[in-house]
Amino acid sequence: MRRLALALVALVALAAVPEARAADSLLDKVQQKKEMIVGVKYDFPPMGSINKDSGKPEGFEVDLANEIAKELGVKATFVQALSKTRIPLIVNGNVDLIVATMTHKRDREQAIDFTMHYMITGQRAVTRKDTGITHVSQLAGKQVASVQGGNAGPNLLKVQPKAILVQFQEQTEALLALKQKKVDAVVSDDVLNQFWVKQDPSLMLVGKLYTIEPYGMGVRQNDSRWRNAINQALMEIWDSGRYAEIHVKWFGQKPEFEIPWYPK
Amino acid sequence: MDTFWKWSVIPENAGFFLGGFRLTLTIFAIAWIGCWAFAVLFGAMRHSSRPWLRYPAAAVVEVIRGTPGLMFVVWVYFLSQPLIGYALSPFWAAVWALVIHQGAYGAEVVRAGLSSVDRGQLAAGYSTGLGYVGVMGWIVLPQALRNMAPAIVNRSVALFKNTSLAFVIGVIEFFRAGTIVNGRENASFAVFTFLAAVYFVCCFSLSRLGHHLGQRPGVIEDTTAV
Amino acid sequence: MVPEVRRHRSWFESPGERRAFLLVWGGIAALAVWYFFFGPRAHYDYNWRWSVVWQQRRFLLWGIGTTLYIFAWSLAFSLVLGVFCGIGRTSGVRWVRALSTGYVEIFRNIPLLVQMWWAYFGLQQVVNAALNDPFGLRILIPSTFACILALSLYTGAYMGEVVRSGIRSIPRGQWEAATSTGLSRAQTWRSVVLPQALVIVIPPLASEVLNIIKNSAVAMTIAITDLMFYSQKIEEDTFAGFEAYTAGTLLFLLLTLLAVGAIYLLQRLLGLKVRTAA
Repeated sequence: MRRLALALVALVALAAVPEARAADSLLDKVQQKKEMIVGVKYDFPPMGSINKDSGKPEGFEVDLANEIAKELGVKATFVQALSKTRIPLIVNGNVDLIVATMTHKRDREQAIDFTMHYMITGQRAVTRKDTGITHVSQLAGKQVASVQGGNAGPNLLKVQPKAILVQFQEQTEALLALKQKKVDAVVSDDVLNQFWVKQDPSLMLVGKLYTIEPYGMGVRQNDSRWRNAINQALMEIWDSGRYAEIHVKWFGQKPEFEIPWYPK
Repeated sequence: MDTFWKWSVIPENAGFFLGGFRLTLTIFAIAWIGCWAFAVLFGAMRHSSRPWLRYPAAAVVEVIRGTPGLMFVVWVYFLSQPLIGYALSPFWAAVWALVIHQGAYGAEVVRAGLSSVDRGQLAAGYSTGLGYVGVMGWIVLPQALRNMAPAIVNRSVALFKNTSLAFVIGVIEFFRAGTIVNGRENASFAVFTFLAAVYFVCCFSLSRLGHHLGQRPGVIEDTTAV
Repeated sequence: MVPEVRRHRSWFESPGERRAFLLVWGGIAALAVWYFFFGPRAHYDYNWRWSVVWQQRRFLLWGIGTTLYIFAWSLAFSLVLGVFCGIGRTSGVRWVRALSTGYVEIFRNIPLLVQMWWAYFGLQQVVNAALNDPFGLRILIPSTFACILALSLYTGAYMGEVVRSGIRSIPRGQWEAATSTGLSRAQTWRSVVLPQALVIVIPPLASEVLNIIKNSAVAMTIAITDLMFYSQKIEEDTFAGFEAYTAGTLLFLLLTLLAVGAIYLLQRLLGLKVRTAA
């Protein structure tokens, strides 16, 4: 009996030991552990995908995250971020930074904070050449694939309320459904659309972009020091020309976008 | 759609598949140990004659058994930081989720195994002067384990199959490797038939072992489809 | 007549046990409450937002609808499959037995995920190559069809095993008695063996039925908007993860409870002695 009571007192005492408070900045925690956990996409070439041979993530965002880690003097560990898991991963603390083609949206700011934009793209539909769909208005009543959690689906419904959404977990499955003729179009960010169309000549783009998607990196809310560190690292990467290098490596051309830079 | 079969996709990506398979085996091995530790603890509690151990353990086990495994994997991954203050990596979240979920089913197996030993044996054991530890160690456990063996093997097969659930949180185990290759190459038939064949070979051999061990009277049945 | 002595089964056999119980479980409960609401975890700023999930309840209802739809069809098919498979496995005809055994072994040893994805993507490719492309057709395999197909085949294999054990538990004497009274084989099956076998195996069959509900959560991965899908959708829209998942889990438990209740009612209605699952 006495032993039981003693064990319980010990347990309570242990729990009361002050631990790393959640109110501390992630910057300190990351620098202490010398490791930054980054959520990237695994299904979104050229931004984030899995290398065929090494099985490791690679892409524009992966390189960008590695550069940021170098700026901060830590190592980046990558974890998969699906469109629907991006925000929970940050909110629940599973990752420190999200670099996963996440559009900076006002309603998303309720849950997380965004760094400065690092790319701007838009959304568009992709279809097979044999469907003959050339405009979004022709998608009425048709099945359109998108990814659960991304805003490609809801944005399509805004311009074409009569489309039927089929929501997959990942972009690769949406594309597969298109190729297997289960759906007539896929809606996604143009970065990916261009990649798909280049890779498979039987696909074609549908009309013009109907949204503007500025990509921002996601960080935990109310953590200014961490957010500032990432922003400043991004600006350093821009200044030194490394951003342009990475862009040329993955997109084959110089960036048309400029990071909203500000001086020291 | 050039060639229908596209079997060449498999050897081309053999390294990738192998990496995924290795990860599946790792998850399986670690989760197996944890699962049966959990199962023994809760199974013994459920078998106990003390109601204040039995009912709470029963409640926990029944709640866990009533939840889908996929839900558990997602729970453990996303709610690890808020609940225990430490963000589990996808690998460990999957392992813990499997440990808890399959452990609850294993607890039932352990309980049935402990009950399968005839009460008379306990009485006989005590009457020969053995203490509680002696009776448990020399009489109950050996018989219980022999009776439980096929059910243990069946549970292990189920655990192996459930490792595929880890793919929803981004663990690149065997099934995930398959879906990635599938998405890249559009060779669904070849890839999924290959996945099915490999899983079949592994699970079938394990279950043959269980069948072999089960050819005895007094063995308990465990053939639940989770 | 010896008066029956009712042994008063109390919870604790000694005051020491009661104290132990209160200390262990009460301590754990108190620790949990303190940890979540007052301790170091408290200023993790987790506001409990149950009302937000309540506002989105129509999604949960849609999810339950889809899950029930899949459940109903899979239940029907897997029961039929299971009964035929069980009969086949105890049949005297060699190839029938081999076929049923092959079916059971194959579908029990492949994960349900693989089977579902095969049914959705793999089968589509087969249909495309064999029917759609050569003949210009457009036969699509919808995701609900693929899900029900995979679930039925998977659960049917397990139910087949259960039915087989039930059939084998019928003593041979009954068979012989039936033939000696002039019943044919088919009549024996229909009137003597199957009714008894199926009643005997209601408890394990019931747990397989519950498993259909739980296994159907996997359908979310092939674009089926079931309960699991909508729990995650609510989480995305409201950023209230813990509450959304708790709601989803509770609803799954509720569904399994309803299934258990329905089986109990069925047993009562058929005038059977109610057997609970092991």
